[in-house]
Amino acid sequence: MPRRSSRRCFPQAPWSVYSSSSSCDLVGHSTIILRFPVPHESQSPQARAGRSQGQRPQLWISLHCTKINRKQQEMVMTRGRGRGMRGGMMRPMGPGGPHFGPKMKQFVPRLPFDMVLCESAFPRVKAAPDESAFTQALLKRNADLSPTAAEQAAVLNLVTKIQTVMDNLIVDPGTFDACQIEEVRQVGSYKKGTMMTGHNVADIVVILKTLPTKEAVEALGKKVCDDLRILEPQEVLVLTMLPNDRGFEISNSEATVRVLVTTIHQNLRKLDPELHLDQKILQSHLAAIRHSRWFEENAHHSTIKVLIRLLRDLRGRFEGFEPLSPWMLDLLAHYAILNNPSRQALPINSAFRRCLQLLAAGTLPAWVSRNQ
Amino acid sequence: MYWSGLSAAANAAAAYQTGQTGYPVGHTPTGTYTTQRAAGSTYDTGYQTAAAAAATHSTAAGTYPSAAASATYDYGYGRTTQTAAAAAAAAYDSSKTYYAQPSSATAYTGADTHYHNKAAYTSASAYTTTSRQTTPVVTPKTSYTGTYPGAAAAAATATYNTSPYAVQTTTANKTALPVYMQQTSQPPAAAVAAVKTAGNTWQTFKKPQVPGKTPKPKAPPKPQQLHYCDVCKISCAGPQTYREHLEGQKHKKKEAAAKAGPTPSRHGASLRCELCDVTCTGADAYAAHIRGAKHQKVVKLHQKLGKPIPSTDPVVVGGTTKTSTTTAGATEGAKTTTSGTTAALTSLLMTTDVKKEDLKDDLLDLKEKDVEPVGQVYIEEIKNEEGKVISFNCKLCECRFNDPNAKEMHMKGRRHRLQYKKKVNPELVVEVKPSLRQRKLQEEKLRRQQLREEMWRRREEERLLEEEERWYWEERRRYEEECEYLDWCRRYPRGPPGPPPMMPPGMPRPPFMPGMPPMMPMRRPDSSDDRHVLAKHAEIYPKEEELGAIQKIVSNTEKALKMVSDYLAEVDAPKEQQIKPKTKKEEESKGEDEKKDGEKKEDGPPRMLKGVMRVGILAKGLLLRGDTSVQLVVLCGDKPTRTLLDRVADNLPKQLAVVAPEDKYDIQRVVEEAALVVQNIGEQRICVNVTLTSPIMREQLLHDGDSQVTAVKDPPDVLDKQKCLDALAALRHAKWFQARANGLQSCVMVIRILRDLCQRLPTWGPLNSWAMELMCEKVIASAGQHLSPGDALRRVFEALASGLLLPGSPGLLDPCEKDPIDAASPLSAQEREDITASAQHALRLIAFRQIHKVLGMDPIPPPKFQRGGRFTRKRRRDNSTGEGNDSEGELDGGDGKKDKKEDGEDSKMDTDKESK
Repeated sequence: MPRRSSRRCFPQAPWSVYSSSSSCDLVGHSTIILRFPVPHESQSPQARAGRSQGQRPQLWISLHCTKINRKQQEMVMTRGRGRGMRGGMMRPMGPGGPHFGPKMKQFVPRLPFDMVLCESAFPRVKAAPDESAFTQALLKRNADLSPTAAEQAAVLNLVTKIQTVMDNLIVDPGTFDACQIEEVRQVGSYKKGTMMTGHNVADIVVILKTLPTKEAVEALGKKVCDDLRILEPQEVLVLTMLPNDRGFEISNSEATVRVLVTTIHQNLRKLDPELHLDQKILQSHLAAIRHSRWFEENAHHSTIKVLIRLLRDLRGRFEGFEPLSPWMLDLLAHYAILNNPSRQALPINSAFRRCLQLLAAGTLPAWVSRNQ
Repeated sequence: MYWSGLSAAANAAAAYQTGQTGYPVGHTPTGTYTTQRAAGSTYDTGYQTAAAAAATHSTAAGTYPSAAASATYDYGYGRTTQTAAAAAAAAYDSSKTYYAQPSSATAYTGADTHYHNKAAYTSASAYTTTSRQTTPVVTPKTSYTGTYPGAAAAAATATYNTSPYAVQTTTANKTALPVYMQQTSQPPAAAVAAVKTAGNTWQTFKKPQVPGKTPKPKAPPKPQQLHYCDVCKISCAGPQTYREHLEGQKHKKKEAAAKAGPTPSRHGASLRCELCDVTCTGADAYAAHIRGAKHQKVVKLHQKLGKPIPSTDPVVVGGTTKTSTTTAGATEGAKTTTSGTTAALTSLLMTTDVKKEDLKDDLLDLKEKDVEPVGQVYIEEIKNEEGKVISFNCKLCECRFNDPNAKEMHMKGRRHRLQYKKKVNPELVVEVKPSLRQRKLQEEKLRRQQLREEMWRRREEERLLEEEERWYWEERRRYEEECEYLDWCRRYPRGPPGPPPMMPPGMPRPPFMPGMPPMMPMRRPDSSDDRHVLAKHAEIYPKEEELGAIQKIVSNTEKALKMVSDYLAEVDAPKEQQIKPKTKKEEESKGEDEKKDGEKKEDGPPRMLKGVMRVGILAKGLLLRGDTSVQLVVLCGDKPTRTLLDRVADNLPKQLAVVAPEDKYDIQRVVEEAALVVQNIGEQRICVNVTLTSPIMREQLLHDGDSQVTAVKDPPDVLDKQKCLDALAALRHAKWFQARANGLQSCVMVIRILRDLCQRLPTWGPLNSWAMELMCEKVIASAGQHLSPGDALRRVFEALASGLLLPGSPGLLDPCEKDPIDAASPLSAQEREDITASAQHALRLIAFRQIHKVLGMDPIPPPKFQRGGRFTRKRRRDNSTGEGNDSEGELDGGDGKKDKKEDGEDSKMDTDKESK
């Protein structure tokens, strides 16, 4: 189909700035302006509507991490809402004339200033300073942040076991009838290989065929836990299961696996907020699957992983970066490293600097005052 | 009757083929048989009941004393014949699974003997009509089995094709046999098993049949020792009570009901306990009944009486749509036999036909009823203090029950399943309510839903298609855009360009998208930013009179300078020999210069003053409102000296008086600046700085080798070298500007705005105008597309915000110098940092639609939704610049800048600290 093929044809033109609320494929926060051709973005109209009404924490991170005051953001954001179809007017007319529905995304063609892309316009006055020390420092930091072999083994072990138990549940549910599992997928930093030391948490998304009632989730958690205990009797004491509003967490002494529950697309419409998990959360879990798939396909470059780790560290240490979701960081890192004129991966020092430059240049709120 | 039977048999002729001729002729009584069979061309129901009746030792006979007996007889007869035939068939056709079992064959052979018994029994019963029928049948029986194996087999196979097993195949999800047994209900599982396994067991099993065979009297039954009422299935304590019971309403009702056949249940299908004559709506209810005390009591009673206890397997009872239930069918069959009319027979034929269909439905219904309980998890057990479960609470349906049985029932119940489907598993199949009306409604609903879904799907598809198309175009355009841009970057590397004169006059601007002519800002008219920028620009752009005044004084000065040049040339010419050769040279060059004037064609020595040029804001068109100072550069033939300056200064007033006799001008010489300052004397003082310089000053620099030689020749009172060089640079800048910036859309406007900004905000003060112009041009040109004024301004702030000026950045390479020089080099690190922080804040303000604060102006309301209130307030500007302490002070224009600058510094320090 056109979309897929176009993605294949232009794999290197992934970034643009959207002002659409429906471009927020985030776990956690709901506004993003970074926009990639994310694999299938098909959502029911209701889901879209739901999203656009969601609260949108505004992001603005300058080079110095100053933050704009909240009230002002709010004001600005509300005023900036619902701006008509002007974006559509500038689109080139395709054959047959594309008809733009009221739901269409606003496309803002202007990218914010990006030094890397404009390099040729700014020839260096003097030779670039030597940044090997900086690079070394970044690499060292990355090494410090990477999980140890023991941690990796522990989390791998737990994930494997849980995956086994879940797979068994899919194949043979036996007497377990609280829910039916459609699919189990690993997502998040564990899957992407961007885990951080001291945060030994892996994410697994479980797609249910049935509707995700709280009881079902809890029952599933119990069942998995019981099965794990049968599988591994010596871990009886250390294994814990904690249900939460996203699913449940299973942890042993060394590692934690967050099991995120969601349901198949068709069921999303049938949800009842009283009985089931929050629809937004479920959608975010589905999005997480798309994200990890995108990552697998596009961002497996190891520099990207290093950069993501560094950015996540940054995010953890600076308050101003907190609104950045993991998915945003993924996109940012991918962009910073791969989107440059030479099409070669940028070295880590330039990429790291570029990330900050991009944020400072207003990559995030680029769209805010675009149109009336 | 026989005739009718024959005709019926003729109807079924196809099935009888070979045997047909011999069959009815040889054995007239078989007419009955055939009739029966023909009637049972929908044989299954009949067969079921008949077989069941036979196997269960004809409880039916007990139940329906009068007519049923004959019915049983008929059916039994039919059945046994069938079975005999089946036995034969077993030998012939082993391919049929049913017959394939050898045990069944033996069972049926065993049944032969049973037939005899049965025949005996039926004949023993005192029915006139039926016994007359049966007796002849019995006799030929033995020979019959032997004689017509072929025909019987054919008949059997024919019948069995439509036999209950067809029903089974449709219903059975489980193992066929148990279901069958359960649903056909009468043959107890054990009995059938026995039948299947061996004839002996059959034989033994037959034993309890004997007491059951005691002929049931017609109602009212004869009082027995125990005073047992057969209709109501109760025993009475004594004859008195028994009689009373018989006279009682309850009994009468039951009797009537029994005669009319069982009342069709409200429900589609139901299960019946034959023993207690109780109809249950479902398997569970039935099970509950069987477990219940009442049933147990009746069983006990029957045991005491020695009455046969029918199996606990329920009888399937048809629903409202049926003309009769299976048992009723038996009654009817009996009736028809008794009445002996063809019409009745045919009607039976029809009813049984109907019955078959309905039974299938029933079985289906019941099958569905026998569902797995769901949602066990959602039923929580409520325990008392001792931990004993006292009640259950279903969270899905929000109901409670105390009985575990009730819980089971609930979990299978429709309501619960519906809730479960709605709340837990949308895929669960919940049977539609069997009521006709409801079913219709349901169907209607389904159909509507389907339509709706289809519509949704179609709409979705359309939407997807649309989206895909849009995606495609969007992506393609983005890709093209990027390609074009990169192409452009590659094609026009903006390396250190040569000096301005060498620059091609119309430097190609980045190419535009083929489909996007430069009318892009037209397509997207003005954003709010654009409108603000335009308004601000209009505000800062000088007024006509200002421009006129400046124009006047500049042109007057130029003219005067020209005349000074002439005068100097004239004066110098005669002295040619006396003065230094330098002056000669000057005059020569001057002469060249003045050739175009055509005034003096003398080929004398070069002129001292070769020409005058506009530079700076005047040349670049960057004049702002309130600008009172413009610059001119006089190019001299040789290095300008103080003497020359004095001579020019002396002569200029005279010439000015000639040029503009009505205006008065004040002329000062500023030797240290290598300049003269011409000021008009009037209400609006405009000063024109006239700097003397000479290209030779720079040539000297450029050719290092010659420098020493020329330096030696320097006159002692040569003017300040740096100033002269600056003036030369200003000349180049002006040329560069005209070549590069003037053609760039929005660029001049943005530079004007920034000039204003630099003048307004102390933070930006240190940023020299040349660096600013250079930066703006580079930043705007590097966008690779036309930018509206608002976008262009924003892009400049973006560039600054991303650290363009910060140490470590590439810097602003000055295209007008030979050596790589950073145009912004005068800025200190602190100034760079301040400007960056300020730009970040400004960018933030722009991003959040507060551009008016950046520009230091009133917000402009959107054109279409003008709100009078905001439009009129003029004071606001004063306020916004004045109040720095209120809550929004941070966001206010001028003061905000300073506040924010500090913020920026603070946070920077913070980050520095933290990152250490």
